[in-house]
Amino acid sequence: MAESSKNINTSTNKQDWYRLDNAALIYPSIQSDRITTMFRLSMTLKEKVDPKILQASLEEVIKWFPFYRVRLKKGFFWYYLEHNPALPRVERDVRYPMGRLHPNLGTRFLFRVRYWQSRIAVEFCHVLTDGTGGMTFLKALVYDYLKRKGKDPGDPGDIPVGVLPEEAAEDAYNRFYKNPLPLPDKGNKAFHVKGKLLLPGAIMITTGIIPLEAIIKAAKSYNVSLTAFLVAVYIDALQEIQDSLVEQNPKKRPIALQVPVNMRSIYPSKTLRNFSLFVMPEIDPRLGKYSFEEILQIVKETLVTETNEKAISKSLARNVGGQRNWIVRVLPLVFKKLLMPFLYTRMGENLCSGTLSNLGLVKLPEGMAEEVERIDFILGTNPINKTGCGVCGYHDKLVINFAGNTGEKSVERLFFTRLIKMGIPVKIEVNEEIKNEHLSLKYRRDN
Amino acid sequence: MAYCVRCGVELQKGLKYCPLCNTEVILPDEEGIDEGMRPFSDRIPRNVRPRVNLAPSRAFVFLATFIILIPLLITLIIDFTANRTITWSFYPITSLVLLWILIAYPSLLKGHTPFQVITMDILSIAVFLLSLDLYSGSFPQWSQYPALALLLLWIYIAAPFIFTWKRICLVIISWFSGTAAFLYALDKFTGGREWFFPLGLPILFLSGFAVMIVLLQAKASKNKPLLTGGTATFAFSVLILGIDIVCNLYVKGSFAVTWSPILAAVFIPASIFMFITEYRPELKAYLIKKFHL
Repeated sequence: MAESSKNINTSTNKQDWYRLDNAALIYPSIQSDRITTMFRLSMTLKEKVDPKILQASLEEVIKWFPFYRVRLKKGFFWYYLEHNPALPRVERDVRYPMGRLHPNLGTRFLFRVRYWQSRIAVEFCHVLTDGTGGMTFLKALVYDYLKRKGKDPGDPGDIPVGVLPEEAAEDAYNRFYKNPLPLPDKGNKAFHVKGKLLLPGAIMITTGIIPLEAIIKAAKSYNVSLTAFLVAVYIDALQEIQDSLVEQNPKKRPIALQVPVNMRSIYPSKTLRNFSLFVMPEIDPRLGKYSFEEILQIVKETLVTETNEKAISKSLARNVGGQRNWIVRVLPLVFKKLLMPFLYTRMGENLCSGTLSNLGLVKLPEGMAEEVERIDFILGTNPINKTGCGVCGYHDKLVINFAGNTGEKSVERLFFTRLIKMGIPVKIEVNEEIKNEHLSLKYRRDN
Repeated sequence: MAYCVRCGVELQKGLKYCPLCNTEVILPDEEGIDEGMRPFSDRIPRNVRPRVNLAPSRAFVFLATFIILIPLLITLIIDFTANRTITWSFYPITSLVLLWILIAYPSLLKGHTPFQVITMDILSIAVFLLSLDLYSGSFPQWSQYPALALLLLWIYIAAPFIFTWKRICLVIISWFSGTAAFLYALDKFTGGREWFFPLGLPILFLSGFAVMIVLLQAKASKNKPLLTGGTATFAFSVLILGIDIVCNLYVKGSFAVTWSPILAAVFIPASIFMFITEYRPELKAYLIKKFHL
């Protein structure tokens, strides 16, 4: 990176500050009690977690990830990440997951490590990284923890066990940006599930645990990938909700799902900061009701045709091009902050009806796999798209986590009952049952 | 293993209703639930200081600052070009600055407590009034009265924040001392007629004492309105007797009661009636039966 030479602190010879990567730029300005911009990854071990050992591991592992050991600061034109000399502390997992980071962002870390019983969870703000980076950090943390506990986690493989090279901190969006390219379509305003929001901070998690073999078999029977299968089930569920609310076809809105694509599989980058973009499989119910097979076909084709270097470089060009525009660059941060929420709604959340992020099948070293029972991935919510769906496969199970900020669970119900009807067994867990107190003012202050 | 009869999904142990469709679980599987089995812990409440909800957004403050800045600069320039110094523009300028503090300050302190905002608002209004008085001639002419009243108001508001309602005695003592100091200052500022020590302080002391007794009694015996009502009525009778005596001492210089026995003759029997009713359950039951609404 051309800029990186400027960021070196000559006294310590360490990188002292980082520019925000392209995807991260928008998040500090939109962060609020409702849009926490957090996501969560957790590993459930077979034994109870020892917080002291976990703290020791965290203090070691954070040194390997200098680009996560940062705090968010305001510059005149942009936010930036500055080295944080403090050490993060582990905390008990006794509050709602993915709560907003402390408002005093300038002094705090942009992630949390939490433990409860046998589970270790990391909650990252999207400013720092995406799911892949978060998972790498969690793997490194649990690997080191198990080693300190006297276990033999086995050969680390791709898990970091020392300070990461500088390329892990690169802004890959900028590296692979090409100019000029035609811009992608602007998109239409999509259908959104309605529902009364719970008070800020409250999040209802509905977890579906599914035997991996059964669901892969079902996907194979339709000759599609697991992601395509799940996206189609999700879109079908949303179609049913819209059909029950809107009778006339012309009044319906398109149903589109944001499906994050890990760009590391398309571009040769080893960055552990944000490097993902979305593809949006979409159906248009104004044209009539779609059968499940039709939806599958559309999703399958979209995922194939949009997930390649050429198609994705259009979105890359739009996003990075916006950031490189001179008018945008010279606009002081105070004004940028006023514009960002508008962009976020108009160009992001309004265009899709939900998000489904599949981290794929997580592989762990043999010794470590013996100690880890389960892996969960939970996405944050926002007031427009009230439900986020995080999918993660590990060992013989697929764990699908829906996080919602309303008391309504129709999406979850329709999604899981569709799987049941296909003969796929589903086990449901929730973080808490919805009670009336969720709507009282007292609740907000206590979360 | 429990299943939802409607959705067909297997359910986590201990659930009484299906989280997806709210159908009651027919055979809830409650055996063998232990802490480790549950997917999430019980929430532990966090004690968060309430934030200032009235605070306008930063964008609004930004705008308001410029809107206030424009008339401020205009008055300043006109006054300065005409008189080569600041004369009349002092009034609009200080008013605009005060307005800015009242509107913008809560926003700049997002995440701070209402107490801090109230403190700043009261302080700035007091300073504003004092500065007006100071600028318009001999000082102090009138501004000490509203300034002192604001200070007293601040003490009334601040005491519950500082000591909390749990230590209500300390709150009342602060209110009492604050009021005493205010009355003493008023006495001094109005020409020293020396009414504070013979008249003001004894009445204040009696009132404070009566309120304290009633509150302590109410705290000690919760949910006994008759007992509290009886104590309050009795304390009020003693208070009016005391006020009558103090007033006579100040005006006539003699120890006498005049009008207060008439009121006491109403209130003391009423309080005795309430005490008796509280300790006689059968009488209480009879009265409830006869007079229920």
